[in-house]
Amino acid sequence: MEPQVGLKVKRIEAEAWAEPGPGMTLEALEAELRRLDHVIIEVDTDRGRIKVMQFKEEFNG
Amino acid sequence: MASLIVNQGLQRIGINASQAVGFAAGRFIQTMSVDDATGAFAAANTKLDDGAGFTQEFDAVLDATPTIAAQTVSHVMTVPTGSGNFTISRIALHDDTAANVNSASATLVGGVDGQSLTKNNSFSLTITLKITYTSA
Repeated sequence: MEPQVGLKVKRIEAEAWAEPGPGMTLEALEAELRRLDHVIIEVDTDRGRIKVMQFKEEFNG
Repeated sequence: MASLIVNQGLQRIGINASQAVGFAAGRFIQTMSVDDATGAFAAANTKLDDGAGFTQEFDAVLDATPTIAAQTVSHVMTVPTGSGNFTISRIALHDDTAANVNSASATLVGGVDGQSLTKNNSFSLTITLKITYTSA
């Protein structure tokens, strides 16, 4: 019988949020990110930030 | 794009959990890096420039002590406006202080590759990298 107990890395996730530098508005940041060909995943107006990356990988076996 | 905890990183996790031979105070996951390497992480990698296409790198200590929810550990680093201004391809974790982490330091734990995040000095970037552990 195969052992049924062990420890493994099941999942790795990553995300990145861009925040405007001094004097830059959120709207200007969005325009700049689009100019740089970022994928705009989410605009969080409450926290003044824009999500530009989301990654998730599951490991099986 | 893919992600991987390299063999050296798994060894560090095991050493620290059991305080096995090789355990050293201060050697734990505490630094994150971004770089522009085009190659993927491989299990045998021990440092950032083991892969292909490496030219630029930025690293910093994590913003705060990593947090854990159930079996998921979260690591957060902010790349400030004046740093990391290149096309970020990889995000990695390291088991040493930021002062000891560079492209040639054997501190690589693992990370995510295959990204394409062009950064410039008009904005900062806050990156979260989560690892979930489980029983088999």
